[in-house]
Amino acid sequence: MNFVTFDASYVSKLRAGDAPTEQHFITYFSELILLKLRSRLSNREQIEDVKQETFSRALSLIRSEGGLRHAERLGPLVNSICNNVLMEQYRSYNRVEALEDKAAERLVETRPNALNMVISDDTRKLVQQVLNGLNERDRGLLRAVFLEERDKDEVCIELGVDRDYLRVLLHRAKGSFRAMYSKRANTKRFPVGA
Amino acid sequence: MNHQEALREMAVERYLLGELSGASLDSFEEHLFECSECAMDVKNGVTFIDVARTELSAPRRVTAPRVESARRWTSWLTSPWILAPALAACLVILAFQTFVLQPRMRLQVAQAQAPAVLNPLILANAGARGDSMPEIVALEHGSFVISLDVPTTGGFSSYLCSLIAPDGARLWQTTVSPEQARDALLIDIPTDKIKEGLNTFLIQGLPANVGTSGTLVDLARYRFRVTIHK
Repeated sequence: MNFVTFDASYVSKLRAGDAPTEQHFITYFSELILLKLRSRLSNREQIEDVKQETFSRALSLIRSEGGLRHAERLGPLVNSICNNVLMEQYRSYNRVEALEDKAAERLVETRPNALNMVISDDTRKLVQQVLNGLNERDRGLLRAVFLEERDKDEVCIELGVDRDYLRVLLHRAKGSFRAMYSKRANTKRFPVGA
Repeated sequence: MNHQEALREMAVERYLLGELSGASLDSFEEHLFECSECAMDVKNGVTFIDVARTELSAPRRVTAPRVESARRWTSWLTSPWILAPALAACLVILAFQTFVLQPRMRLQVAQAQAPAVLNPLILANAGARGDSMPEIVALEHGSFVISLDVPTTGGFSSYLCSLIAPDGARLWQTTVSPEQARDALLIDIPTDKIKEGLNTFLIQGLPANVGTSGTLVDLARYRFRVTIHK
């Protein structure tokens, strides 16, 4: 598993406008920003607005003189900017919204692209495998919590487990999925016999 | 929050379960943006949960195990309702062989090997003088001897002697040479090879001049009655 390191070299390339580095930067932090925002904003368009504004400000700051002194603080910088944009978004949506100006609307692509569909199909099979490896109680627990979105304490009492059990169950299921996903990714990258 | 604290507190799982709030949430998210390992863990967790929601909402597909069906296919053979009668039948067969068939066979062998005086049924001239039908009473699984003459009027290369059952079926046949035909034929007949009732010995001659393809000539019919005693 290769973990990303945001070092001086990386920041330098970002400052210089290196396209692959910039693409990586946006892809990597887009997922984290979406995770952060989906529990705070319900509107897809709002989420997209905040995300784009965050990147715009972050890149602008990185490219400014003395904007980012320590490369390893790149991640917290993006998080901090996202928090600020989010607060501004909350304040602006409390005011009366403009009804016209559809041309200014940003079109949000909702359909997954072809690559995502392929990955999703593989991913679905891996998740199926993990779920099939669980006993009925554990499947019921995950179903109640994530599908039915029932109160977690209530579900745990009903099934005779505690919250720690639920966390460990999620940890193991996630770990199994992650291991299988990595193995499959390596197999595709280095197919047998290649 | 540093990485060790995140691991110790299972912060990723708490985050995914929505158990973090306020300062702990802010602290973990700040760590998330700087720790690519935790970031990867959260991303995998979110993917797993999102897909699991769909999978858990579908009915679980269960494949019937083949082992189970194979076991079901043979299990009836080992059922007590099948085994017990089968075992009993085997014992009955074994007892029959041991106490009935084998002693009978031993007796037959002993009888066949022991010296005995023959009392043949003589068919030589039977019926020629208007005598009554010759009759023999033989024991089941035993044998008896027939004595008969072959009419040797000459001109035959060989003779055919056939035993005909009451229903007309040919039970037995043998070729007799002219030399053998000079004297009375003694034929030992096992009782198992004959039918109860009126049997017939047919004597036929094969003309000498036409070879083996010639038409057989009926020379004599000796009829006799057989009664088998069990």
